[in-house]
Amino acid sequence: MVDLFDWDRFFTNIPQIVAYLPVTFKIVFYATLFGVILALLVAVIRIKKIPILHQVAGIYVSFMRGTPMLVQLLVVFYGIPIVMQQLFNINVNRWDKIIFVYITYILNQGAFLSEIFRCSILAIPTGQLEAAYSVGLTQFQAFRRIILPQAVRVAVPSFGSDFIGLFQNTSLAFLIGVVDIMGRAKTIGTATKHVLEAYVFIAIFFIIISLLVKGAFYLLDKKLAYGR
Amino acid sequence: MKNLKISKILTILMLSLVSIVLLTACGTNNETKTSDTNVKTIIVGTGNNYEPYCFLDKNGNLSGYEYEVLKAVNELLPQYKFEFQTYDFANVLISLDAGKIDIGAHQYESNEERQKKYLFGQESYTTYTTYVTVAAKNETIHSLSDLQGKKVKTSTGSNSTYLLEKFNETHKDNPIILAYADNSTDEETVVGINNGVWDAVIVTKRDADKFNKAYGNGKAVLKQVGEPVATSKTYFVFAKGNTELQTAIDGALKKLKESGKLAEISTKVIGGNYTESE
Repeated sequence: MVDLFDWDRFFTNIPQIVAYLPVTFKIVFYATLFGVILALLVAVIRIKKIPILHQVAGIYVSFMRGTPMLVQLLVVFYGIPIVMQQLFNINVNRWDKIIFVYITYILNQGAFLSEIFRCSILAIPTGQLEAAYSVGLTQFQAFRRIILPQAVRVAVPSFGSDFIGLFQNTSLAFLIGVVDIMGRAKTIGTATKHVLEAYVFIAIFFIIISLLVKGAFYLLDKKLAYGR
Repeated sequence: MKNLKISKILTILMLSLVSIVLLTACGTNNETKTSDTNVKTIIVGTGNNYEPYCFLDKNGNLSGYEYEVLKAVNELLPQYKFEFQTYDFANVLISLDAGKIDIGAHQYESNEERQKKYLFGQESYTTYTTYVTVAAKNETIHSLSDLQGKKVKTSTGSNSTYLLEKFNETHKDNPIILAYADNSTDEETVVGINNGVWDAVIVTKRDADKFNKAYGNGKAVLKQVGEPVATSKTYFVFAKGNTELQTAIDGALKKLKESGKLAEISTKVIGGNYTESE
């Protein structure tokens, strides 16, 4: 057998894999941006217990949290076109595959983050809200000035670990043929017949990312720790 | 009262979010379809994990035999414009089911089960004769029936899996153990068979040669034993009823065979003429 690992191959692989970083980052970016918006909506719906929407949100969150991401990706990829065809008679089958990946990750993040946000908001004692009302703040002002700053502080650590998880989850996108860094590692393996070097690089990359994210959230956490 | 207002605002927000997502998505969709109306865009679904048939080259572009053949076919059919999408093997035919692609191209052999669901081309473009393939040092396995009770590496949706399942139906007392390893790499196959993770794999002679050349360091790491498990050919696969596309491509393939172009592509990309016989 030839050597399984070779440093030359390791270094020639790096630029080829790095070229696909934007794909991974884009998934993370869209999932976080729209995920946060969606999560805020869902969190508010569930805290306010808005009829119908509240139940729908509950089912949505438990589905997203209770099924593997892989299943969600396939449901979105094959299921959404069927639903769209039936309801609106639009053929979305030929959409770029990356759009289905974005939708999946946004929906998934929306659910996970909504629970983080919901808990963080509920963690603030109701007494504070009552106190805010008693000095004449409106509902929005009370939320904006009293609840939100404290809730953010509670949410940051969980948000950080969720964010690291999101980075790792992006590697599933390759299943439907979206080539991200994981997919590129695998396809390099196919083309060159040697895959271990590419995998090792991916592992190092994910470790670095998780350390960076962890560090950033640690700093953020420290910065937000006013009055402690 | 207040709650009612909030719920209204929320509903509007939700709807606008959904429409934003949909609109941006539609936008990208339209861009890809701005070709002139006489040329019909055909989406080809292929893999990206099977060298030298469909894989990504150094720059990340799709290349390989499937791609080269279909490119040559497209040159003969100016009424179509082929666009290539890559999937992992098991998802190509599912995407054909779902209408995401028009042609499936991934060294598809024809079998009864597949014939029921899909429309196969009439013109083959490669032969596909598969053998039981074991570690070079293996002395106990000489045929398919020696594999009973042994572990064979397969992948979901492949013809070899189908044939092994058929074999097992008639050998229920001591079936071949199917070990599914989807989208694994060649390296995993060779290492796994050599250190006993699996006992065998069912591949073509040219695939086994490729493994030996890549990992053998001059020696053979795998060997093929016994009679062929299947002597078949590979075809392009279409959705049921899409005879127009199928006839067009069959016609083009026929021309490519007659002109010797197909043999040329096979020799260039696979390293031998595998278009008619092994």
